[in-house]
Amino acid sequence: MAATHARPGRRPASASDQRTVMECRDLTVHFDTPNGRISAVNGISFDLQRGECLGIVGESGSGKSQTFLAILGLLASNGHASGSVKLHGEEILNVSRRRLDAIRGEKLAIVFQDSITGLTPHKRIGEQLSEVLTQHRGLGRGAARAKVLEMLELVRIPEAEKRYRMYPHEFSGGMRQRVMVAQALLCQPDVLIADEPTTALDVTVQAQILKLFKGLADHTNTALVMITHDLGVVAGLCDEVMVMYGGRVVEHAPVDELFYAPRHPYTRGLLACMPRADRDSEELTAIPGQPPDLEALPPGCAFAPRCPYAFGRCELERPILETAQPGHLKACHLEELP
Amino acid sequence: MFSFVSRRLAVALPTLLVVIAGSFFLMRAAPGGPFDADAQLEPEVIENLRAAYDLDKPVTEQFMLYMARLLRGDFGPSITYADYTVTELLAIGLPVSVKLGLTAIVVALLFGCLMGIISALNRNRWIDYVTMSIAMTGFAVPAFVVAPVLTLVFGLYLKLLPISGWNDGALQNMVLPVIALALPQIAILSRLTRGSMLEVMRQNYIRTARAKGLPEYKVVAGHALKAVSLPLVSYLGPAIAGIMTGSVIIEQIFGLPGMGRYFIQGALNRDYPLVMGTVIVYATAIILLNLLADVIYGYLDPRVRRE
Amino acid sequence: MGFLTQRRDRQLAAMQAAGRTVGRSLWQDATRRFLSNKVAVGSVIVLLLISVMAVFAPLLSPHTMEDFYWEYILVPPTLENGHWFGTDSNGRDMFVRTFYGARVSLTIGVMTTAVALVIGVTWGSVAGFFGGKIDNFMMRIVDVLYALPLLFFIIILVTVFGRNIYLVFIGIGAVEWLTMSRIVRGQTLSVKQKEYVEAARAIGLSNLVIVRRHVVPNIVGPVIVFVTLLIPTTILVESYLSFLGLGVQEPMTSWGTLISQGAANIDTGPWLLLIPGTFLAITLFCFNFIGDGLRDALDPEGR
Repeated sequence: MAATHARPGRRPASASDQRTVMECRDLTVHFDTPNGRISAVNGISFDLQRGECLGIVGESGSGKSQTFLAILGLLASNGHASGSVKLHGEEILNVSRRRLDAIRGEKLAIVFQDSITGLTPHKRIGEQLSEVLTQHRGLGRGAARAKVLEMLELVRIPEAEKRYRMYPHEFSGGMRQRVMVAQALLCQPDVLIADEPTTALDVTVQAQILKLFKGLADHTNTALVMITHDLGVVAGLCDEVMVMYGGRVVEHAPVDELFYAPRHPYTRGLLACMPRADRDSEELTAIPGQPPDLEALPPGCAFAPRCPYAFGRCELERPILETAQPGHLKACHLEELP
Repeated sequence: MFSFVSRRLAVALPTLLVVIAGSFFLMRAAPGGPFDADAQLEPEVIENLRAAYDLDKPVTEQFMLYMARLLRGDFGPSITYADYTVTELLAIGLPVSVKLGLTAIVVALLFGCLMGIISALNRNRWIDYVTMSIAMTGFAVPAFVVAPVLTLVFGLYLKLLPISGWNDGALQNMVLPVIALALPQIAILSRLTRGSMLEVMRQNYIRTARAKGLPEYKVVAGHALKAVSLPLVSYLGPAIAGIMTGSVIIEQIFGLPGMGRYFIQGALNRDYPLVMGTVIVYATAIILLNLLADVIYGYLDPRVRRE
Repeated sequence: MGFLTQRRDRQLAAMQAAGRTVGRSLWQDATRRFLSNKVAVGSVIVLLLISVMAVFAPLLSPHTMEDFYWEYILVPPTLENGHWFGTDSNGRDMFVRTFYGARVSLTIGVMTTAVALVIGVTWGSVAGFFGGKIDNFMMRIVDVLYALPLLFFIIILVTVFGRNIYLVFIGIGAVEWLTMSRIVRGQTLSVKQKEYVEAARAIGLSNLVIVRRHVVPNIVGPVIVFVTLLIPTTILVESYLSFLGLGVQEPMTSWGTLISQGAANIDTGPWLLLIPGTFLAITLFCFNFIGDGLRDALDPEGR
């Protein structure tokens, strides 16, 4: 049973057949550069259920974004993906552009981090949004416009009528990000991927956008993937969390378990970095050392050079992702964290 | 938009004035005059001639007189072509140069953009290498080498096209001059288009457009093309200047009765009014076309328009 | 508290170390990248060959520039009588004339570029360094000049003041500095605002040291690239003028003059145009390839 290897298996296997929206197996991404091959993602597997919210946490370069760009067929031209990704049982990895176009924006939508460069600067917001509907639903101008205005109001954009005719540079950062979310939701996708949607925003605006996602996760059947480097974002929003390091999953667990009983030293390090109101700590801690060099990953555990508990075996043998307890996967040679 | 245009115009007029004053005083500053070559003329005849063209007066007064006439739309009489006024000569030359130049710029834009886009979309494939080699050749082989070679091949060897003459702008007379004139611009424009296209296609909003499920032609046409055209519009001014300077030489090579020929003849013979007339027309054209390029830019980029 | 300052100290030390090695290895890296670019290196070799020939060709040939061979008028290129590139309509040896023309064309290209370089760098760095109103004023002048048909001014200049070779390159140089000044100004402005310059100022380095250590190295790269691309432009402008009969005059000759004579004899002696034309094209090619190669080597991010 491959699925049990990949999934914590919180839900009964029989139900998963209808509830599972996406199955990703052994996804690998590499880039060919003049200096050699860079392995960005090394064999990632996970499932997504309807209405579930999965958090993907990791530093930049951990492969969290590239995983989903690969799934969407949006890798840079020197990037190559292998493995298998199924959407409702249908293979979507490395399929034809025509097939991808039918899926992207319709069943699979994404909200990117940078809304300043993520919207076409010389096209009115209204046009950019309504073309999603004309493309996938074949709506006429009037119908598309009505639907877009409805969606803009749903994401709480005031004066939607007026905004419809404006250009991206006339919007504030938070407003632009709402537009991006509205754009992604137009076709009520089965899976919505949010790639660090709040990183570029002010803290207060961040909270508003997260609230938007929260409402989405609670009230629709859309499966939400929240990619972030901020565990704080994950805490209030996600059901499950996958922690990535050096292009691999190092821990995968339900959100509460991950927070209260992390099984991987890296996760624990990340948790220690979180500023917390309930603990008056004098200093901000950081995980010492540098993220791994993806051109030359060590043969052992990629985190070993930075791991306070590393021992001989860690540098020689790469730990595989295994079940620590039902529903909780980890990739670490240590049975228990000290 | 209106204030945008009027602000540009406010810069354009002084520029034109600088051109007029600059070329006027430059020519008067040089030793010698238009009648030096006519050694057989009696001194008093020359004196009379000089007086007829106001050349006996102080330079500043000459300039005032010239400007006053210019404001009435009078470029004065030509010295070399004694029976013609400069206005009459321009009326002969201008249509030829405009037709030649406009055709060349349209051809250059058409082929340059097309080659650049095809090249960028097929980056690092053979078609990219072929188009870019052609562009590189057009870049390195100047028009005054291309033009004689073209006449040699198509005119003298293949006997397909006439090698000189205007013939009222008949198609077969236009082909070779237009190719020679457009080729360097095609080279630059195609490289510019390719670079701009590659740059734009790397942008995040292109990724967003693809993520929306738009087919590639809609991504390119709807989201890339406007941005791709911005550097091309910026280059339009220099391109027009290039076509104009090129046309001087091309008109010479193909014996076309355009402005360029009158300009060179005028300069060689110290025909002050003729040189002034041609330079003013060239400068006005360049300034106006630059203004047009600015307006197009403002139209394409909503951020500039508001500024 | 102690933790934070300690950390910052360590970071600063690391940054300084990095700055030193980066400073050195930037040029080493650029050299390595340039040398691995076969087209660019090949272009350098070809240009060197042409330059060497420009200097020594008259010594290799039994003929000289001004010898008229009345018995050999318009002889096509041949190996038999020593006229390897043929002769022109006056029976002069084209081999010697072509490389003599190379000498003049290349010299004018380099000298003119030097004129443009001096004016452009001075103008641009003054504007960029002082900024504000001065910058605004100086750059407005550049904008105005940019919009003018300056080649026409050169033509007027050389026709009214006589066709003097020095006038030609001062004229061209005085026109071609505009882009250079824009590049230098842009670089100066952007370097001035960089954090490391502020950091350098903060740790008390003098203006001169800042300029020498931070501003100059950042400007040199783009300027070198632009110079390599400006040389072919100026060679081209000189050829243009010479083609119209306004540049280099007999008995001197340049590629433009030769091409002009070739164009006049295109039906009877096409080699008169094709040989100097080919050399001109090859030279322009080489400079452009070297310029592209330098740009890629100095600015790897730009690709």
